[in-house]
Amino acid sequence: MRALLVLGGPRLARDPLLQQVRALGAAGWQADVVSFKALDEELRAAVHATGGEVVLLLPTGLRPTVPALAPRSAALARVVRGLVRRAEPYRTKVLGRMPGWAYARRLLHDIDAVRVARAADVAAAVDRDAGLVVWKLARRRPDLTAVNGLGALANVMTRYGG
Amino acid sequence: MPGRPHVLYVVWGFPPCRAGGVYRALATANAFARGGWDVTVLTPEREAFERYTGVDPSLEERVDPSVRVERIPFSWPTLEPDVRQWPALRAYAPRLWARARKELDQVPFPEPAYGPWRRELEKAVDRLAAERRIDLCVATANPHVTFTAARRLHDKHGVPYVMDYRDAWSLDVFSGDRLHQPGSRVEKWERSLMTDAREVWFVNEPIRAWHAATYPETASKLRVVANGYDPEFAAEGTARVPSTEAGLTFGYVGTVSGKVPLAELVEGWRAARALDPVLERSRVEIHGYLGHYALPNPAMQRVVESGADVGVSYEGPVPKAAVRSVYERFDALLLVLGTGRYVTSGKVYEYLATGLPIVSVHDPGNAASEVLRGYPLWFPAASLSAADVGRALADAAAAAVAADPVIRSAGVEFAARYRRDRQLDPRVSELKAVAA
Repeated sequence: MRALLVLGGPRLARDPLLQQVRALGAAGWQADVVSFKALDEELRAAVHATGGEVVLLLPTGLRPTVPALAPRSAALARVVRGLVRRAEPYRTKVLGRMPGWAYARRLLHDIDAVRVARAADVAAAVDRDAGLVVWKLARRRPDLTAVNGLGALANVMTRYGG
Repeated sequence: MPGRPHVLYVVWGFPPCRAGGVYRALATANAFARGGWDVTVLTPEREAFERYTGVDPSLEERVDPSVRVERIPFSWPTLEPDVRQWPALRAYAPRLWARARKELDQVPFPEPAYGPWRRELEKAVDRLAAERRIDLCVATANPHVTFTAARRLHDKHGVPYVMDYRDAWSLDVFSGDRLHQPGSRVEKWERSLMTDAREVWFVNEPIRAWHAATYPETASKLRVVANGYDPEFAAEGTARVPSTEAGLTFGYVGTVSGKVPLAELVEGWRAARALDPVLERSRVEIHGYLGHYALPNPAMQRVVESGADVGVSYEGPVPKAAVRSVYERFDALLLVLGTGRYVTSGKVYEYLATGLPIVSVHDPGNAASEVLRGYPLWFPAASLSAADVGRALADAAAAAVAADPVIRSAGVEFAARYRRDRQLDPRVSELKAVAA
């Protein structure tokens, strides 16, 4: 079985998500995650351990890339990192106000997100902002089990003998 | 059965529901059946629990066979797990939908999510009262909407009623703050319900005293019916003989919530090992859930693992049926609780039943202290500092090693007052006068 976990907002209930991903893996499920916020190393490792993948969608529509060259100046890199860090609370605030339809639009137009969504047997909206995405997926895929919340996903897992 | 008084017990969480409080509900229905009453339980359909709380079918087998269970529809749109069932408004504007839902829920009764159940409850009690005379109604909160069934029976059919609170409606049991101000709809409902009630039950004295002070005109009918322990699950008077050679086992059984001072326990244990050589060979076992999910909360797991070098270990969840055998592994018990003047954890009673030394690792102002006061093997930490927790652990270890059988049996005798049946039976037999 293959589960798709959709994270809609910038807030992340990390520990319950990590526990659920591990539970899916322990039950022999594959867990794919589509997120609008970067997941930390432990979460990514847990997803990969299930054989799943993480699709990160940035609000700008740009893909995260690995820098091809090392920064020319360490001082400049430090300044940039500092600015990014300071901008983080404002970015979170802006993302927090981003409407659900904007998330849905981003996901349904991303080639990788659509690929994992097509392969999923169960889709779960992990937070409130992901509700519309999963609702739309459910309308497009009559065979998809679409649930809200990690608790409901755990129940589905139990139902399928996980 | 003709000639027997008939009680209607109105409760939301009843077997097979797996939510907290279900054991009190089960014990109450069974206590009335045992006490010579015909019992009808009014509760939601099984499907509601399957959808929203999870079920434990084994609990249904514990319901007295003479109890009639009447199940009525209950829906909880906010928790609807199937996204296909959502209206478009909820999908496109979840915040707006949630706000509207909350307001609409409270139109019939001022309680979010549960308010709409009032209509089903009232319809059902009218039907049940028409089928057979009801002599008494006992309604258990929360949710508090169950009280509307009692109110309906009282107003329309003249049936006396008992209100059974598991927590409180107007009082925040953790902070001690008042949740609903005088003049609010909740305050008006509560005052009126309590005024007409035959009795009002609370789980501990601090909550009863708060209500007596808030609604002084009702003070004479407020009673404490503590949760107590179920003898069939508890390890009453475990007889383990400690071994100083192998070291002692200190145990914790229960869910570790975010409010439990786990880090303080580990630090206190570290300090205790320096005080007593027996403790250097001893260990701490934590049984139950770490957090509220099936898999352990990673942050809590890290705290437990930080004490692995001094013998602290996490042993996983315990099924209710296996609790007794787990208690039999311990030489002393760890009562590690969050702060709350009005909070009594259910495990206090289970702990007492064992007759083992109990170390309290919680704020001394916690309501559990009132329950434990007088227990001969109680070792409360004066504060949550490592030194105080360590001192209490060392004292408990000394008592465990001494294992004086006279003191042990005095402890078991002290606990017997908190057997669930001893809490409920006096109330059940006194209420028979109502039906006579």
